[in-house]
Amino acid sequence: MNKLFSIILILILTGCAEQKIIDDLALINAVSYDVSDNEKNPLRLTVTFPIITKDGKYDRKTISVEGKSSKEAREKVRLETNLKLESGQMRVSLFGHELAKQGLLPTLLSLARDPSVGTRAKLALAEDEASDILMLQIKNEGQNATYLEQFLTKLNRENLRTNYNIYQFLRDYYDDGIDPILPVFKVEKNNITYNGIGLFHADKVVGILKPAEARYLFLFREEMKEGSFIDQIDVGEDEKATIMLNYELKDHKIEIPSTSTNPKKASIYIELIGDVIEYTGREEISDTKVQKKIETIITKKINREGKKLIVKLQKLQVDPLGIRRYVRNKMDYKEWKALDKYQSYQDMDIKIHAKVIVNSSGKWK
Amino acid sequence: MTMKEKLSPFQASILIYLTQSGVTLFYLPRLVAEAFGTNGWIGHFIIYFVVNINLVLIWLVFKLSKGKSMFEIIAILPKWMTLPFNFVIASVWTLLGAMVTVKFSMILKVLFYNNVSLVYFLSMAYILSYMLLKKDLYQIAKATVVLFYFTVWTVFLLAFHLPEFSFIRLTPFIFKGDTDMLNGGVSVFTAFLGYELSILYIHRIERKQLKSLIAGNSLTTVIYLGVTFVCFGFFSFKQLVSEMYPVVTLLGYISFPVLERVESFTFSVFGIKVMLTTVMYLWGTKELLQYQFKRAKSSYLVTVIILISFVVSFIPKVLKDLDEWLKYISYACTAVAFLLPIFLLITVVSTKIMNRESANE
Repeated sequence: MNKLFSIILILILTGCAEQKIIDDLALINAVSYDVSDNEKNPLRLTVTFPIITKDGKYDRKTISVEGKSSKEAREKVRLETNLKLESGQMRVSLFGHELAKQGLLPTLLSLARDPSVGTRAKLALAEDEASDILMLQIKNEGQNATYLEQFLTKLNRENLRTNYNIYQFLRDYYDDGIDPILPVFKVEKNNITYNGIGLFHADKVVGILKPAEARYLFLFREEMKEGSFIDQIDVGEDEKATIMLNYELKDHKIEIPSTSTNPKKASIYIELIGDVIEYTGREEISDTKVQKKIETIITKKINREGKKLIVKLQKLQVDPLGIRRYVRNKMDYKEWKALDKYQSYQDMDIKIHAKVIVNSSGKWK
Repeated sequence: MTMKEKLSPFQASILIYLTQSGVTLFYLPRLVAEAFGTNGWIGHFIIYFVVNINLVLIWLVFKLSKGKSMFEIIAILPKWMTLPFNFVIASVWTLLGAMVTVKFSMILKVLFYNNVSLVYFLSMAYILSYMLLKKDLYQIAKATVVLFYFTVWTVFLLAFHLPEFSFIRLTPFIFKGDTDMLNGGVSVFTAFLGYELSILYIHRIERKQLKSLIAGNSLTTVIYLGVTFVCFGFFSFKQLVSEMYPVVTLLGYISFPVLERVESFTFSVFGIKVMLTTVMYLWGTKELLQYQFKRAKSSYLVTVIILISFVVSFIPKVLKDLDEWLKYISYACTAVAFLLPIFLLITVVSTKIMNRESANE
């Protein structure tokens, strides 16, 4: 009897916890942050959440407000809807370019501090205003948030490891050996398109790589496993050909010669094995000689383009490849702490040693 | 009292492990990072060693007294002498047991149930604790083994973090950065507390007493080491120091194909571990009081202890106060863990010497 009473009591107690009726909730699935023109309220917050209209249709509502901080703006959003705001389902958080130039840390920390926001929530940059992306009404595309989330997941699956969520961004921000990156989106022809990678120096964006350049960036990042290389190459005198190579990254390592106290040199080794899917040149690609020639051409191309990219990164003082992590692991703790990390990174001589092997010419000779 | 069943070595090990692992686990990696700096997970070995020394002391008491229980040893002292000591130890243990539950409930409230009153969580915890406490240690140990299987699978969740784990992030620096070896070390040590209760039941372990105690502590250390090691490779060092509850974030990072944000479930499962820590400390209190007040009915004692803990639970109002409380209580508890076996050893040895002298006369 006593036991039964206790069990009933425990079961009943659980019912006393807070209730959340799903029809009464505004489950925010995406937010965006921008700098506003208003001096008093410098932050523009846009939230979007799904709603069911009176005639039973699935729709969404987007609210944009200006506030002093992200949470203060959120309180203003509360005044503009009949539903109870919930951040627990937030999947994507977008940042405007201007705000990213000023630094993302305050906004990110307010996301990280809020226990209802998951650390897996994905982050992205907008090439211009982030609210434009959330406000955009794409035909036959219900929720922009779901669209963006799927897009980011796809990029990640295609091994463009842009899938930067709150945890990953903060991890690389707080790591003194690597800088975070974020994917950039823009509104184009009434559609949301991926438009490269935003490079961060600490929490401030300092440059954007176009998708073509970003491809090389991912080639040198360690998370890369496979991908495709599409480019125009010079195959002979005055002859250009487009080639597409589906490759697998066999080897990736970054080496620092462990000689001096302040390493000046670094080498990135990558080895690709790939199958030719497209080749517009006139030669027989199945010929081993031609394959050898193409291997050298692509190798040179990767080395050249890669070097160009690295020099650009060094000039911007951003290190999304995490080369300084390898430098750190060669150094003494005191020396590392005393080092001017960005300056020494800028002065480094980083070499790329690519090796490309053509595996086959596809299913056509 | 009737003849009590003996604990098997396995049960004893599990009992030690579940008493040790409690609410501190959720922020242990941060404590370790704050205490030992970079690659602080190695510091666990030091603590493991210290705890083992303490366990050997407890075992020595048992060995030298030829299998007597703690109460049989102190029976040579008059009751009025043991009363203040027992009373102090009992209050330290009650407070620790209660505060551990409060800490868990407060974290639960901050992270998942902002609008739910603490009364609900605490009532649930204490009702369950009461049901276990009414039983004998043997029954508690049996329940512990069941609950062990119920919770131990959470360790395998760490496999989900392997894709984000990186050895480069561990850095080659050992114990560098802002370290606070002494204070920090003691707070890491408090995560291991709970083993000292074995002094009350070592004589009831069937065989391999020392081995089973050390096995229990080893299990705790292995799990702590695993979690902390993963945290050091998963978070960057400064991030780890800034994360209030790294293990909750770790749990929150797991995603299943259909389920998002499962941490609210896994976190609640951890509640079972926390409850067992509370149960064991309150059981220790009960044993102490039972010795002092032989005539009191055990079920009344349990009710009184539960009621006192329940009331005490409401004294610290906010997490900040609670952390202060917990800090000092666990310091006191650490002192008890070392001094009690030493005191008992002295008693045993001096009894022996006195007995020998009287035999010689």
